[in-house]
Amino acid sequence: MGLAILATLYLLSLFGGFLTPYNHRSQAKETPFLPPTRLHFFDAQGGFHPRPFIYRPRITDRLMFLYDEERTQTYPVRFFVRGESYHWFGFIESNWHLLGIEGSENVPRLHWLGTDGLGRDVLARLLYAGQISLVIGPIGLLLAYLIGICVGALSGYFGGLLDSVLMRAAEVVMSLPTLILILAFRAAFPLSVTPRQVATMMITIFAAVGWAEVARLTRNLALAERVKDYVTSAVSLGANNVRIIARHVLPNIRTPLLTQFALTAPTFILAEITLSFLGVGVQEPSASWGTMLADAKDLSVLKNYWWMLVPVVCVFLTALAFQLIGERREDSATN
Amino acid sequence: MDSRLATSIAKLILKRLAVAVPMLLLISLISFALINAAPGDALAELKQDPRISQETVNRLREQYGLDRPWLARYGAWLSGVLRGDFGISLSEQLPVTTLIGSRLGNTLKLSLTATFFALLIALPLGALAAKRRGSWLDRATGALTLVSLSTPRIVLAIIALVFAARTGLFPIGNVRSLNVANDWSAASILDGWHHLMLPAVVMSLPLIAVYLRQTRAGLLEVLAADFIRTARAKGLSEWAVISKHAARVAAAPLITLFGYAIAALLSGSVIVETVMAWPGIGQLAVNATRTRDLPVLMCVVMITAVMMLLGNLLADALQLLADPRLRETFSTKPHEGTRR
Repeated sequence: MGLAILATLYLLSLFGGFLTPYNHRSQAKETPFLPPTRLHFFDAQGGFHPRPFIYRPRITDRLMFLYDEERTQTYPVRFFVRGESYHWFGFIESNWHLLGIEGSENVPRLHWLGTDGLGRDVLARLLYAGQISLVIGPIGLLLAYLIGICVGALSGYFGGLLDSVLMRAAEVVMSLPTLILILAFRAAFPLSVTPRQVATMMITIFAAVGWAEVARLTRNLALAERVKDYVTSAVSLGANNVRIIARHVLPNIRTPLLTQFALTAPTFILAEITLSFLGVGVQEPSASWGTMLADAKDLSVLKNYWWMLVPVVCVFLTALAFQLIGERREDSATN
Repeated sequence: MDSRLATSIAKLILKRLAVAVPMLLLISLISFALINAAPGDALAELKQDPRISQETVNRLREQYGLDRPWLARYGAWLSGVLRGDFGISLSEQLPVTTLIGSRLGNTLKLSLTATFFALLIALPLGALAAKRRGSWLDRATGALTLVSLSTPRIVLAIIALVFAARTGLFPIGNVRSLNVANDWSAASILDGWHHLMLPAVVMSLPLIAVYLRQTRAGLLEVLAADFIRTARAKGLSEWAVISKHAARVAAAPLITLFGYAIAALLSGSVIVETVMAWPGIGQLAVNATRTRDLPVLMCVVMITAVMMLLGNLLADALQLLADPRLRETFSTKPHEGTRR
């Protein structure tokens, strides 16, 4: 269940450019805060159209951004339409979209989840933001695992002075609440950073914060493994330390490490969202679920434009999915 | 208090103090170095303002000591802190201690109320769920804990904002209304509670889930033990069995959790305070990050570090109170807990 939710979220984000009619940056300045476009089957005269169509929105209140529809001309929705260009997986340029309105100039736009204050397609931003929010945290955590496992395995396997120095260092990192620590690390980077730097910066911060817990877990596990018979027999067969750690000890402590990964991944995904929400992470015109939530927390937006709150659902589903996965792993570990 | 308990608690405190002092020094040194590693300082924006001359900026830099090497500044900062002086905020031009003083109170008020709510709800509900295992109540609380564990605080806080904005039942932001005096009158206290309620509920929901799970799991384990069967066989009432016999044993892991929850609360308060505009130190930390206000950020880091250490100490001291076995064999290494 958890895996299915997660896979859906990742796939939707990955194919976001194709699935949405527009890209995440294009602004339709004449239609800010446009509610989700309604699909119609029956026209104003009551005639049935097997192919659904939309009407052109018309603004009725320029202060509150209220719209109605111009029911004079219908615009059918078609599959596989050429439109705004985007990049498959970030590098293959394309302009094919799954659904859209035929014709390039002066056709109404099809916004499944409405538009934001700059008239940008919320769905496009949501899926594009997923590519950032769902990826940066786990990559940072992976790096943290790489460092943490090395430190922990060395520490637990060799013990002694090395062990105490490394573990004291880990304790210093762990003695602060995660978010405060992340904010302190964030202060070590310039305030405004380019979109390319943002990813590097966050991954660095997450690795710097996350390694300690992994190191301690690995160390305690390795400590328990070191005295087991298979290590002794590997030593007696003449295997060197690196080989014993990499080929014998690590595979045996894989399961608890993986469980821990599933349990901590949401923390780091949320950390990215939180940083971006607070305005010190991903910045405009890029999008993260955090920046989208920051746009939505404005009181007038909260009251009037519900579609701006859709990122809340994505964040919740992500956290739920990881929780379900983590619990399943814990259950199978104890049973 | 029996003397063995007193000595073991004294020993614990001394032991922790011996670890805490070098730890705090190291934390302060590392954070100071980190914050100074960034290009640009609090005056970088001033420099770009054409109305302010280079001389003024230089003079200000000198005044704040920003022109000296960071290690020298760390020394100055440290000697100030030892005298109780955390410096002057670069963005607010106020002593950091003044700035933090009232906000720390607000954060503690929020966190403690949230903890109180959580315990008030989680303990009886968890006990009931354990007692009636498999009942609809048990399944309902199980589902609720899953949902609340997987609802991040940022989501909870925004949902609460939507609720407050749409119904108008709760005020949004700040600790009191502008037109209500800050005194001990009934109106003022009521108004304070009105403002506190929603953020406290948002803070406490994830805590409720954690405590509830722990209570249920702990009680279930204990209720299966032999001494419970003995107690029941003696003819004790079910209430006496649970409150006198089972609860004491089941409380131990809960107490540990309580100590570590302080860390979770501080992280959580950063989010709740920022989203719901509650003027606490979490909000201050975020603002300080945005404005590169080094003295404020350092003070927040140190306060949270001290609170973490105190929380762990409190948890272990309570543990000694709850479990007499620990007093005899008191040779513990620091507990291994998980942060959130």
